[in-house]
Amino acid sequence: MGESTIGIPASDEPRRSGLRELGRRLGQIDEIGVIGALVVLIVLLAALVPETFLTAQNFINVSRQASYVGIMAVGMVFVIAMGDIDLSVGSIWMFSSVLMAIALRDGYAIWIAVAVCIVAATSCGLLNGALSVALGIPTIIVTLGTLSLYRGLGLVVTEASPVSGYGHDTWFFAWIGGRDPVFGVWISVWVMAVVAVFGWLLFNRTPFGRRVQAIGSNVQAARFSGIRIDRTRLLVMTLMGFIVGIAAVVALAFNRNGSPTVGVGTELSVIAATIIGGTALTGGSGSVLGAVLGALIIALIQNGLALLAVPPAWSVAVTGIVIIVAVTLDYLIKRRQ
Amino acid sequence: MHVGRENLNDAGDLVVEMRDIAKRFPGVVALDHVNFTVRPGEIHALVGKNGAGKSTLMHILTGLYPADGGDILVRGERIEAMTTSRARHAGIALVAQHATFVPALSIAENLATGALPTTRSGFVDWKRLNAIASERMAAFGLDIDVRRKMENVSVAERQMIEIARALFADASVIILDEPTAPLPKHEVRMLFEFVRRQRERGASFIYISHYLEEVFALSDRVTVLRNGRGVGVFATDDLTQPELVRLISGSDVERFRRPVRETVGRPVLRIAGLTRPNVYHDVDLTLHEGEVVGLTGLEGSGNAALARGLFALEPIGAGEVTLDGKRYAASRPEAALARGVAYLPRDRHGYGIVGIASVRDNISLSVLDRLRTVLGFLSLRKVIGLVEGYIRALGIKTPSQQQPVEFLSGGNQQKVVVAKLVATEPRVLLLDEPTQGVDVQAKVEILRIIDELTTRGVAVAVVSDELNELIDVCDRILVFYRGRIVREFRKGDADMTTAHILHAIEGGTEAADDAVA
Repeated sequence: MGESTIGIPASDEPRRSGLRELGRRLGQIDEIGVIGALVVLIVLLAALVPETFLTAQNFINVSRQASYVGIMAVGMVFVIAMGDIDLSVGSIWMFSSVLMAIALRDGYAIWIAVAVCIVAATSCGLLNGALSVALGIPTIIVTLGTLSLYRGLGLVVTEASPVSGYGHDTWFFAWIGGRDPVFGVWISVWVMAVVAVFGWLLFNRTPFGRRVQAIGSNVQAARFSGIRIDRTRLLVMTLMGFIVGIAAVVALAFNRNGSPTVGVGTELSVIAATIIGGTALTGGSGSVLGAVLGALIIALIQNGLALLAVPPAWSVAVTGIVIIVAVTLDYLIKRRQ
Repeated sequence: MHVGRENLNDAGDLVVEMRDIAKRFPGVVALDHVNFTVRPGEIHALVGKNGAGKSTLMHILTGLYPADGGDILVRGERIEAMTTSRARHAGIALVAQHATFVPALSIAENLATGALPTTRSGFVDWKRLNAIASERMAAFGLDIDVRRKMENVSVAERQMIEIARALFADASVIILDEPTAPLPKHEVRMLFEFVRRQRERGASFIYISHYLEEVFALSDRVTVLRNGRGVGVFATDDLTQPELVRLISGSDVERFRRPVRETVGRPVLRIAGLTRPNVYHDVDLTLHEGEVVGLTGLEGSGNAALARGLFALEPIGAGEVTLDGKRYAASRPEAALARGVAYLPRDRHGYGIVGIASVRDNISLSVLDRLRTVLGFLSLRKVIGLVEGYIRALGIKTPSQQQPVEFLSGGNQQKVVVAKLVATEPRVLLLDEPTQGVDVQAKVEILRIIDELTTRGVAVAVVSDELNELIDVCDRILVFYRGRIVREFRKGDADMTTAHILHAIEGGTEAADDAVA
């Protein structure tokens, strides 16, 4: 039956007018859907609220708002490309950041507090992977459980109230929670950029990244090719936790105090950013750049709706609509090729 | 009965007539003015290499693609712009290799397709549902329990049910696309008997297959396509198999025969007294460097299970297994590969290829760690070099390294899987039905590749029931019967013939061999 392969029906003969050729070239860029959506969104907001939207200050703020989700979406690309999902990232964020705040409150040095945060988040990810591998349950089920488990533990250690009582006039809060002196961009945005570059290299340029995509594409073929499925899954879930730890550190540096309400529902924004960015929920491929741009889109929508004085409740609903539109757009463009 | 059909030659009696069918895809002429006819009550084989246009022609007949030119007549009536619903109304039905049933539902529910009978209170009337379904199946000579879940029904039965369903829905022409590829031998026989019975009742079949033995066993006429052109229509009885092979390939496909080897290499894999209860017993087997050993037998006789056991896909059982003199016990496929034991799975699509990934990604998949730079990144130069080497060595036809593997022909897909295995530089290569679902020419090329691999010192075991191919390529053939190795045939011996091997496969003893010869 291999011969049905030539059976790709063509709509018509390809005519190479300049515009079409440009369209064809653009269509070949993996992230074209998300870039298109981003451009449309910016043009639209620039037309509707030019005086408040088109300011450097606004862009600087939006990019910071996008940065936490953007950092975590880099990890989510690996998880989803492997054919898995992690629903616990919002809870890992909350749990690790309150532990860090508690360490600071109890007088530990900043580097110890940072280590506590990263180690806690990485361990949470490792536990997700270990439970899935050891019990043979899909990660969606495991993380549905740990979503409550980690948040619950966070509520226990904080007794459900904010953690404060430590000084904020240290280099950590000034620098990591501040803006760079040259461009005035928030440090969390730079962290997102660095995480994205490392994530891109790991995903596209290493054996590990190739294996992750092979597993997501055909797990049996990957097994027959000698890929250690369990080990790779464990590594990816651990990496996800580690990356959430990084996001938690930079977020706490900005927010200053540990909050037991941080990260509620964030897993959905992270997954949405990843999917808007062109990573297929069915696994097998993904885009790190797309995921970061996806996070920007989500932040831009919320920013735009705020500038348009839309009530916050509506902004949640509109975010959902835009996710559907962006994913559909991407699907339609890809299908036309 | 052949005589009866011969006088149906005038066009009015044709159930399907496709005239001058043309179809082009970007850059390819898929069908170049092809004619194709089907008579009532005949089994018409449609043969050709992958890409010859068989599937495209059938897609046009079933309305999946529009033709660019030509006419389609069903029972003498011209059908304008064939669509899938028009094809269905005209009584043309396709039975695909992977039948379109819902596995979790019962046979009866699947047959009812959304029109379940209900009781007066609105619930499903199970009694009536099952009674109707049983009756329908019985009408086509199928005696099956319709309450069974579809997922527990064998593939051959599923195909028969689907044929019966189509016939019940007034189909008169059934297209069978490679129906036997996933079937063990005894199920093929069962399916063929069923198809013949339906033919006697007046149904027509279009039978697409790469298995030429089956074409001769089943069909009344053969239409041969080559590169999108019709080569001709023949009464099957007027053809011999070599003639048909020539018509399909357009030239003589040389039969590949591995020469008899004088010397035997060092032993690589030694198995002694290996037993897995109810699967195989007391297996003694040694694979030598540069040797090709065929493992054959009926379905379930233990030959395929042994290969899967060696690759740690199944428990291997108790006994002594050594590889290059050291104990061999792999717990997982990756451990087997690390020890130099590679396995080519039977189901290429399920287990062999990563379909959406490129030729490059597939071939390099098992050896990525060897292709890194000092910093741990993949070296594109090394990857391209490795892949290019295998594309050339194995003669893989692909437009580029970045072509998704699912767009290659079956033979080339199989070569990609072989390349992936060979890239791991195995000591032992286990091939499970390596020529399944590939065309005649590709079969020969794969045998040639197997032969060439042995010059690198690889020990090859081929699990197959394609006896002709085993005879051509193997130095030795071991016959499994009920979990035991009962006979060994050696290349060059007079008794290495299909008749003798077949006899042994079915449990015949050596003493009774004379009856065969």
